[in-house]
Amino acid sequence: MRTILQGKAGSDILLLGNEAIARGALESEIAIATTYPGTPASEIGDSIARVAPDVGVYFEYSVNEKVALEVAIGASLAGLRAITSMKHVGVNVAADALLSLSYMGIDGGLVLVTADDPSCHSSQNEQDNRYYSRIASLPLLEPSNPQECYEMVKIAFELSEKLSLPVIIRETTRIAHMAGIVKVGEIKKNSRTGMFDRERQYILLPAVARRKHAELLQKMDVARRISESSELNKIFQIGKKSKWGIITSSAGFNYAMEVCKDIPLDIEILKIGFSHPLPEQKIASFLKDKDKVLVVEELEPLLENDVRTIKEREGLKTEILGKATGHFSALYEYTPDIVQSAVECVFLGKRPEAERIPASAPDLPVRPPIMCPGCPHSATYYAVKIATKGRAIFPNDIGCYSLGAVAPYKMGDTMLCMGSSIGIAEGLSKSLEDPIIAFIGDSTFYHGGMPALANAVHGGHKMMVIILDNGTTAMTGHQPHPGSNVNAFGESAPALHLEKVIEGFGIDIVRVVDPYDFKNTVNAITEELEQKALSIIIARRACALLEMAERGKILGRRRTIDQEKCKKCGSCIDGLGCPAISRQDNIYSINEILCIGCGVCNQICPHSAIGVKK
Amino acid sequence: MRTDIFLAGVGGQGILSFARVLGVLGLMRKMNVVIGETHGMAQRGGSVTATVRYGDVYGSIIGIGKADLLVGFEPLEAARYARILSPKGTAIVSTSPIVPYSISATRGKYPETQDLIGILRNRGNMVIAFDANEIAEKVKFILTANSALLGAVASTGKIDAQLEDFRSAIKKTVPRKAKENLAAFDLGYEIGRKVAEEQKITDSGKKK
Ligand code: SF4
Ligand code: SF4
Repeated sequence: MRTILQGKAGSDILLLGNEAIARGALESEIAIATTYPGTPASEIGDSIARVAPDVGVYFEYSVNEKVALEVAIGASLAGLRAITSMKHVGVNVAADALLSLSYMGIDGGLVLVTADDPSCHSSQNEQDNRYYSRIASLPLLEPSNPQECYEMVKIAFELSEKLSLPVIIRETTRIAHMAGIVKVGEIKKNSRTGMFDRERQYILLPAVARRKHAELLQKMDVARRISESSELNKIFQIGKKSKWGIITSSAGFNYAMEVCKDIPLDIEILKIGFSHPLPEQKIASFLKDKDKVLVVEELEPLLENDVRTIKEREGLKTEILGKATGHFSALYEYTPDIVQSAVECVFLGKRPEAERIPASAPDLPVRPPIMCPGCPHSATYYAVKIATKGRAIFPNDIGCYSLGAVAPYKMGDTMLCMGSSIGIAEGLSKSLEDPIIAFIGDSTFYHGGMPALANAVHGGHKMMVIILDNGTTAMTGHQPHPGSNVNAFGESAPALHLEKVIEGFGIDIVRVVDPYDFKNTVNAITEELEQKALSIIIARRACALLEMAERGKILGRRRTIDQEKCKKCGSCIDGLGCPAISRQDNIYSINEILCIGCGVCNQICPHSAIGVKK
Repeated sequence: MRTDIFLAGVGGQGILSFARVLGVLGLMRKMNVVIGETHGMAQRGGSVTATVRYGDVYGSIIGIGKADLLVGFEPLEAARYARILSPKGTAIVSTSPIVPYSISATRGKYPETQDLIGILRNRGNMVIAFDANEIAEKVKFILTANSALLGAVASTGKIDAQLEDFRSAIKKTVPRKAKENLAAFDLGYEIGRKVAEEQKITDSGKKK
């Protein structure tokens, strides 16, 4: 197992971008680190969690991103250094705090890492969180590789204390999940004692806020001067001096470098690492002696628009190319091939290839993600399908169980953001006669579902909420949540009691079912549907992956299909949908490497054809 | 100088651990190394890819037609990414299929393994195809299948490292079951060497 503590000062170690961020934080005397797990940010928190007790850091998986940021703010106001990390859409949750925090100011260094997900590898959108640096008026750093992830965290802490502002570091999936060699320094434990200065005004009453806004603008002027002379904004010359240039940041820089070296071109590449406030003078002087400059940035044309503004203001003739000229798209992440075709088109006059060739062949059978063999969610979904005959509207939520939206269950009519299934269900239940069944995971319920449930009780909404309680935050790597009886370090911790929490809302009957007990699960759902009230069902069974990891073995004896008894009805595949079962040439069989022996298929087979493997 | 390796398989097949062994190898050889990993949703039984790049590289993505090696942990996934291979590249493919649930669900048919391998062969690439699970069974430890694939990777000579470097990278990354993994590695290496030799014979036969 890699650990971010390995490697003495000055040595080279192999780190994931996210691990490099964690290492940089541990070398910056942090006292507190918080997060809510979310791909592609999760490994930042996970790798700090593994070592936090050894290095005297308080670490927590907070209940959601807003609370994660607020806990970090608390530490900062006590003069200590803190880091908080989250996926891009997590910043939306934290935004209420963040956008006023820039007014309020901080004391100890505070760094917020946002991990964006161009191409939506594991997300519901591909929003460009560089916008947050603009809307909140905060400094923004953008690393391109693990070494920079590591260095920029250290720089961000210094910058944050110099400006009394939080600093945002924005990475993307390709940077977060890229491993590379990092030259590390020394781990530094926090040496400060917390102290809260009551004379400083951290209270944003209107009169204070008006004054603080003016202060913020002054701070950003200072930040602009720092950006102008920052080493993070740097020119790389490839080949001979030329009148061609590229301005780029983040992953775009990597592709631009490789492509221009491979062709090879004589060109200068201005890499923007400190991207808000922009080093406008540096950019202006870069443009001055260029005929053509291509802007290479994924997603929104933020840099490109600013470069155009600078060009206009300076009255320059340089031709600026990028998204506005149709050389790049604002969609999806880039690849070396995409950048190559734009570079060749702009500088070598080659016609861009009409279609971008995808790396994967389109004519082979696809293999989309699916729920794991033996996943309790599969059993729950199938039980709901039988109880409802599929006749209901199913708002769904964010987690592994989002996969309930696809075949064979097709029980995800909406999936928007963390916790939204319950609120949307309320609106639907007031608008439709159909039964409404909302699905939500346990971690997601604590994160964002609780206020919506309070609303459902008070509003008298008639609907069913099924909480898929597998005791963990499974999708992102099994992090604990407030309902878990262990904390991030595996120590025992007070757990919220889910039934009591819900009863506390004034809901008397909370049914708890075990999806591995299939018949009872179907019965409970059928009975509750008849209530036509607000009913809550907790489908409780530990995540199969986690359970196996804890037990060190599979859950039970592997199952097998008796070909003589099998009537080929398809219930195991088209109903339960366990991926360990396959159907080839109408022969049903169980893959013995994949089967974990959960014992659900043998309960649902109407012809008793499935039994334990001898 | 640059060596690009593309890894393709199914979530849960240990592709990230495989990439890490190659990463440790690079670190030991003092080569620049960049690894691209897949995390999150795709790991749930979906198509999973990773990259390992040595030498003069910046990002983690390998361009189409640029990979020197394609390691397929499953035949359908190997074929899916055939076009990532350079014309001179070599594919190493484990031949035990994992039928995607979606094929069963749509009453489709998993392609013939020979046809999948054929997609790679027809592009003119050298293909080292064998059942890595079978080797794992031979050494009586199922998790060694990937070490057999690594042995075949070593046999191609495309990575600038000695056999002993590979072996110590394995010892470093899987110290507990090193013996079994090294045994599988050796078997994979032998298979790779044989295939390369046969290929040479047929190639020279063609030339005559
Ligand atoms: S549910 Fe039972 S009888 Fe029906 S196809 Fe599956 S194994 Fe055969
Ligand atoms: S016991 Fe049946 S349902 Fe459970 S994992 Fe095995 S094949 Fe799938």
